[in-house]
This record gives sequence, structure tokens and C-alpha cells, in this order.
Amino acid sequence: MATTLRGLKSKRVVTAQKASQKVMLLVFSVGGRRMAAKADEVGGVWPWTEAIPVPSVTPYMTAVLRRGEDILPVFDLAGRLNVQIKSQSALCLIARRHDGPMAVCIDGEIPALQLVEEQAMRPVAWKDSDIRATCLIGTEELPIYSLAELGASASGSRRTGGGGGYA
Amino acid sequence: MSLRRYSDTVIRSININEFLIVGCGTTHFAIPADAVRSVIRPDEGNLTALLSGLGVTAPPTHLAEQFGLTGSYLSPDARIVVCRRQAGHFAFRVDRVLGLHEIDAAKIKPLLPHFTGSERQWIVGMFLFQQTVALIVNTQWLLGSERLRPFSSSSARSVRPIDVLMPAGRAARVQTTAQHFPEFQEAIDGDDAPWAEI
Repeated sequence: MATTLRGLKSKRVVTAQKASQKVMLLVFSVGGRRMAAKADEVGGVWPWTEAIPVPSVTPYMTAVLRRGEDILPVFDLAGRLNVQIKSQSALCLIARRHDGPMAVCIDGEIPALQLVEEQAMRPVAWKDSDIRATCLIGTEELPIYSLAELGASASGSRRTGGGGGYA
Repeated sequence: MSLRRYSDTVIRSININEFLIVGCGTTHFAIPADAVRSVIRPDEGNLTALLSGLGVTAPPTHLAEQFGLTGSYLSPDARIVVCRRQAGHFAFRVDRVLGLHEIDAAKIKPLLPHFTGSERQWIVGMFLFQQTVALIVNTQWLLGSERLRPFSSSSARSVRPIDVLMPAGRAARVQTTAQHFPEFQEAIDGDDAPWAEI
């Protein structure tokens, strides 16, 4: 009798935990466009330092950045979105991509952490896009980028003449 | 008990690679020194005749243009780097030369995996250089490409004997595992500082 009761009770607890699962997002902007990414896919945010151009045909991957003894590739997200960043106050966001960290130049506005219900994130599967979901934060529906796969869709986008918008 | 002290110091063999570091815009390229024949100033007398004497028959192109970039022809510190290849020589213009540098092979890193295009063929590695990063040019690709004009065998045979120019401070160089050192030819001015120290 008691065993049955405990079983029922624990089942209810698990259900309650699932319902309240939350995700920490980092909200930032690139060329004035606000967007978000999962905080666990962000390796840090630093002041932007001058990038070193690298001859490259990999889409939006045309520079590296030196950070102490480390060399990081730079993904040109602003170029992908066809927007400009004011370089005087820009920040460097480290994207934890699956094949290694990558630097992304973002606006100088300090990124904000936002805790949201996982259920509030609506998955999307847009063609040639690194956006994996959208989420209503405040009154804004923000795109949530997958930093782990950032740039993976860029090759296809360039071939099909994509880019711009929320790529 | 012996008073002799034993040292456990091990003489480590260091694999040193030598590069000529050049600048194109804000990018620094490292050209393996054994591919470099000479460095000359573009305003040194009759450049065409000078290059011809070195076995170069094609006009020098900007190194940046070899990678599809736009090269600047306005740099006051521009130099012409003459590179050797099997059937002759080829000349590249660069914005500036930062000299010869010996780099421990352990400090050379491969091109980052994020770069997935043809650049993997152009750049074979990179290393930290001063406050920036130097990209190691794949000379097999650079000099062996079909893009470069073919040289006539007669011009290749008419190369003058090389007068070895060794920068003063390099006489007591460290022993390296790369046993073939490049020989450099002085361009015109005997009273100029050696190019490698420019």
C-alpha cells in the first residue's frame, strides 16, 4: 500500500519537474537586430579586438582573432544578415560550435540573460537558417540561434542566393 | 661519496622552421625560407632587367591576388619577393617584409577546422607572430599552380650565380634540423642593410 503511494507520488513529482524546465538564454543584438542563443552554447563575451583577415572561400569565415595564445576563427554573422556593426563599441561573443570555439562580432549593447520556459520556445526548421526556434521575450518574438551549428547552413544559403533577413 | 654533481638536463633537439614573414594589408604570410631566392625593392633601377637577371620572366603579381584578394600597390615599404621553383623563378609583390624568423615547429598550428574551402590548400598552418598571427603559405600550391605563367627553359638556365647574403646577426645561428638553408642574393645596393633585417 505504501509502496504504491510512493510510486504515484514520485510520478507526480517528475511530471511537475518536466513542466517547469527552464532554459537560460543570452539575448544580444547584431547590427541592431535582437536575437538569442542558449547560454550554454556561449563561451564568453569580451571586448572586440581587431580581426586578422584570412584568404578564404568558406562563407562568412574570412578572419581569425588572436586571444592571448589562442587563435579563434571569426564568423561574420553581421555579413550573413547584411547588417553593419559599429566597430567602436563592438563585443566579441564566443560561440561554442561543435568543431571548436568561434568568435562572432556583436553590438556593444551588453547581452542580457533571460530564463524562459522550454515550452515557450517554438522550434522552427527554416531553410538555410541557423535559427532553431523562436521565443517570446517581453513583447518581442526573438529568433534563437544554434551557436553549436552556426554557419553550417551558410554554404547552402550562398549557393541558393540566400542570406539577409534572419538567416 | 662523490662530489661530482650530475645534471639531469637533457639537450632537446628542437625542430626549427625558417620563414620569411611578409605583410599584405593587415595579414601576415610566412613563406618557407627555402622557397625564397631574393627580395628586392620595386624602385630599384630597371626592375624588369633585374628580375630577368634572376630568371624571372613574368611580371610580379601581388601575393594577395594569388588568393583572390585585392593587392595594394601603394605601400611605400613594398618589396618584390623572388621565389624559386623547379623550372624557374616567380616574383610576388608584398606590402612589406618583416624579415626571416625561426619558428619552433611545435608552435605551428594547423589551419582551424572551421575553414573548409580551398584555403586549406593555400594555407598549411599558422603561428603566433608578434601581436598577430602569421599564415604559412603552401609554396607547392603557390609556385606549382597552373595559374602561374610558364617559364622558358632558356631563362631558367641563365640564372646568375648566387652571391650569398647572410645578415650579420645570423652568423651564429642555432643548429636546426632543416639542413638546407636558403641563399639570398643582394639586389643592387651594397650599402643597404641586409633585406632580412629590414
